[in-house]
Amino acid sequence: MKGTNLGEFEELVLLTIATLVNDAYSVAICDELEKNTGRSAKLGVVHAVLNRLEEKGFVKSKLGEATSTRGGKRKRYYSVTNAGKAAILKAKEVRDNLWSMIPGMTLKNI
Amino acid sequence: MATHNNKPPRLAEKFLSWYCKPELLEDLQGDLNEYFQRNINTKGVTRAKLIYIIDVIKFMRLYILRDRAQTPGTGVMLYRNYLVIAHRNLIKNKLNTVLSIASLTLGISCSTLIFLRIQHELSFDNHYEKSDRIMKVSMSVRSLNTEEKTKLGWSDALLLDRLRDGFTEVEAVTGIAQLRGVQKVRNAAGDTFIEEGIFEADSAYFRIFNHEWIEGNPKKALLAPASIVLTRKMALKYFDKVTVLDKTLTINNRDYLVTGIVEDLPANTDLTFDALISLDSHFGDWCIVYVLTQNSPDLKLFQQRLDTLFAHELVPVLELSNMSGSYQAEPLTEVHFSDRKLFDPPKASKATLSVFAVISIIVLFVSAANYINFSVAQSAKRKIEVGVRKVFGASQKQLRSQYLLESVVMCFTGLIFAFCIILTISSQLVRIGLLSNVPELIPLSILFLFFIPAVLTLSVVAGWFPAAKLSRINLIRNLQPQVTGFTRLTKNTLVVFQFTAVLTLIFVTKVVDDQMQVLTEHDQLVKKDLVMVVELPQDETLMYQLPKLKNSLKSLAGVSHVSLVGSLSTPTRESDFDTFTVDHGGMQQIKMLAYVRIDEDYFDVLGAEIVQGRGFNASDIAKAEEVVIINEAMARFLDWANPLSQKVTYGVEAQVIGVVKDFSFSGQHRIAEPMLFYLNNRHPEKLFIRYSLAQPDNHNLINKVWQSNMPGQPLEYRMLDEYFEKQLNNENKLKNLLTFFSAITFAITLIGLFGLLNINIEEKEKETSIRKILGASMKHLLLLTWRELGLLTVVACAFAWPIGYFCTQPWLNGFTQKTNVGITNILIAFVALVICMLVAMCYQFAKLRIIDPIKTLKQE
Repeated sequence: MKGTNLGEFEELVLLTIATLVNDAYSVAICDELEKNTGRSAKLGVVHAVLNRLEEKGFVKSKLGEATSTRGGKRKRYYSVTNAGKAAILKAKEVRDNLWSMIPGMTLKNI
Repeated sequence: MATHNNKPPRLAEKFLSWYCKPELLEDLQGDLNEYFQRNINTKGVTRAKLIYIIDVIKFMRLYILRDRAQTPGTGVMLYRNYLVIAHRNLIKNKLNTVLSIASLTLGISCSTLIFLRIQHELSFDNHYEKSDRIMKVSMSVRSLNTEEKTKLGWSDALLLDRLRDGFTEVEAVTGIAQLRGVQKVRNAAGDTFIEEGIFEADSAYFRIFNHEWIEGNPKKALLAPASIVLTRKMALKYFDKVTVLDKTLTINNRDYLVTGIVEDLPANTDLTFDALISLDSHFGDWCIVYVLTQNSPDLKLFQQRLDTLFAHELVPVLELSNMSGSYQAEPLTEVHFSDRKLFDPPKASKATLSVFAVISIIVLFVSAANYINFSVAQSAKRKIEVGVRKVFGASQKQLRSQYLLESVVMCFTGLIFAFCIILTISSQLVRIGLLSNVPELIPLSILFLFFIPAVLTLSVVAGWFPAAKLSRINLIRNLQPQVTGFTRLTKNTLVVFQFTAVLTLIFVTKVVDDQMQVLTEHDQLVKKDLVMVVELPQDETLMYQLPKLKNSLKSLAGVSHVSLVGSLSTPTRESDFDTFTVDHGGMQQIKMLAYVRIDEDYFDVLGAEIVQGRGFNASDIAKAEEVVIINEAMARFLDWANPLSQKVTYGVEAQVIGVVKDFSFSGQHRIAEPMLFYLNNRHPEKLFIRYSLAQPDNHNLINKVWQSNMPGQPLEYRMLDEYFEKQLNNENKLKNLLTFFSAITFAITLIGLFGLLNINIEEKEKETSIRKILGASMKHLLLLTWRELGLLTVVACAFAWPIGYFCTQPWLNGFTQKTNVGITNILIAFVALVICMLVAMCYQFAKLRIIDPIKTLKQE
């Protein structure tokens, strides 16, 4: 298994999967990311990240039902595993921690 | 929006499914489809398709790519496995492996040899830079009476100027002519040798033909009179070194300045010279004419213009002597395959080459047949292996590749061995005439590369049948290891094929050998090994010595007859010919006839019998031009009932005083041609000495007499039978090659027979044991296999006889005296095969004898 560090984009994808709950498949993840971050998410990149996350054990996937919109091909639905949940929680914790250490003055100047 | 166009691009889809891991494919396709549909609605069909294609390419990431090595049937691992198993299997059946490889090696070396030979013949005169623009112009003459056509290697020397002046497409013209007879060449130190290969050439020669120059300037070498250009071997012979520019060489008492040295000419050229001397002023009547055209020649147009020229200039002259003729232009590279011409080196025939090509393919297949036979015969042994592999899920295709790989391994081992053998023994092969020159390493390695696809084909051919057969073995039925009828049919077909090839080759070789025998037997000149042919120096000052020399030689104890012979008058030489006026059918007619110049002892020396009239005698010398002797063929040709009353006019009218029994004089196929014998010893070329007995000291005695009469002249001689041997060179070569190929095929077939018997004995060990216990005699046991093999041999004979018969007929038709192609030839071949089979039978006998039922029949 590769290192369990979470990259920035990986974190976003993981969070997106978590927000989409039962409807988290690649295209939907892309759309959601675009909507929330305002930057265009390429399908190839998202796929690569999903594959990497699965290798790291943060997400798991299963094939859904066939639909006509996809030319009869099934969707692969992703869901966050416990390890994934731990990873995003840890990331959040690290950030909160860091946030809390920033003196109020500095922030007010922004 | 048109819905029928809403499909994503097919090619991109296919590409995706080709490279994508199967487990990821569906999801990806789905995603791409979804995007595609969306893009159609927002961006239009064309853009959507474009985006689809780009996305497919973008998806090519490492984790998506299918791992091809893991795909069953195509992995490197699997091939390694195949190789290991092939290796194990080959090691396991050592004997058969060795036999298969041996026969493949023999077969491949054979065809390589033939290939090298064909390549050599095809490369004749290809090595000149301008080969494709050079043409040779030769002349042929035709008698208007008899329509008999004679092709000459030469043209009239006047053609040179006519070509130079009248033909715009011609860039350069050169004439070259061999000095007639032999030349006496002396170097500064006084060493003298007799040379035959000196040509005179005009200065344009080196403009047309490029040679490798060691020293000298090709542009100027032949400009000055009395210049000579030497080949390397001549330079070494006379000066012991190659850098001999500006040295002097004396030819027939005239000094020549060496103006250039070129490398020796390659073996694949018809224009061979040892030295070229510059032309004095112009050629005699004849010379060999070469033309260099400006652009690649338009042969048809050129020939037309030559025809016009001939009709204009030569036909009027020739008509006076009742003759006609024509010029022929031939591209230089095709001269070697043209018709035989007078005064021209022997030519190759494309027919013979193709016959040899066919033989090489047959030999190759005979050797492949051994491999097929062995593998099929062994298939019973490998059934269990195949069964196990099938149980573990090996597909037919995989099994096939396994067995094909084995065949490839075998064939390539054979190929490598074959080339190693040829490389090591090439110089010996050249000596016995199977190769024309020692192949160099680099062309040979190119040839090796060329052979790889050929051998690959061979291995597929050889391996396909066993592979198909073994891979189709039925799992359930392989518990009963029995030879099926199909296998037997294959084996028998292959054996019959091999036997037929062998028998046909032996048959043909025997026919050629018989024909050679006929040629030698029908030669009327007896004891040619007793006639010594001495070259006379072409030196006017020594000519007066000749009668004295002749007399003192005659007085030697071991010498019975001595004769002085004029130029072109040695048997086997192509004789001179000219036009003579003779009586034919009551009319005086002009005929083209061959004639030789001899002296009064000529017929005694050759042992030719005078059947009518008398031979020449000393009293005829005074009026030598007025008497002539003819041969029987001449009397027949002119329908002379009483030849002795006839006259022949050649300037002077000559009385026929005798008729000599026919003896073949020249020509490849030794037909006794009509011939005139004139008495003339003014310019003798050779001295014939007939021994009364072959004694070892003859040569010494003769040499002594020679030295006392011809001081300082080397005694250069050959025996007459050597001339005849040389004349039969082509037939001899053919015979040697055929003998060689039949021997090889024979060996391969024997290897096959031996291997098959061996497998048969091994497989039937138990059967033999039971038969032995039940009281079968050795005779019965042997009969079991040999009944079938005997039948196969007879069948092969039935094929081989007609094939051999029809193959040899066209060749035999070229001879007047033909050998009988009877049933004996095939019988001899048959007997040869049977004798070898008997040897094989002895081996089998010994093997069967030692089979011990107690050891073979046991509980396992």
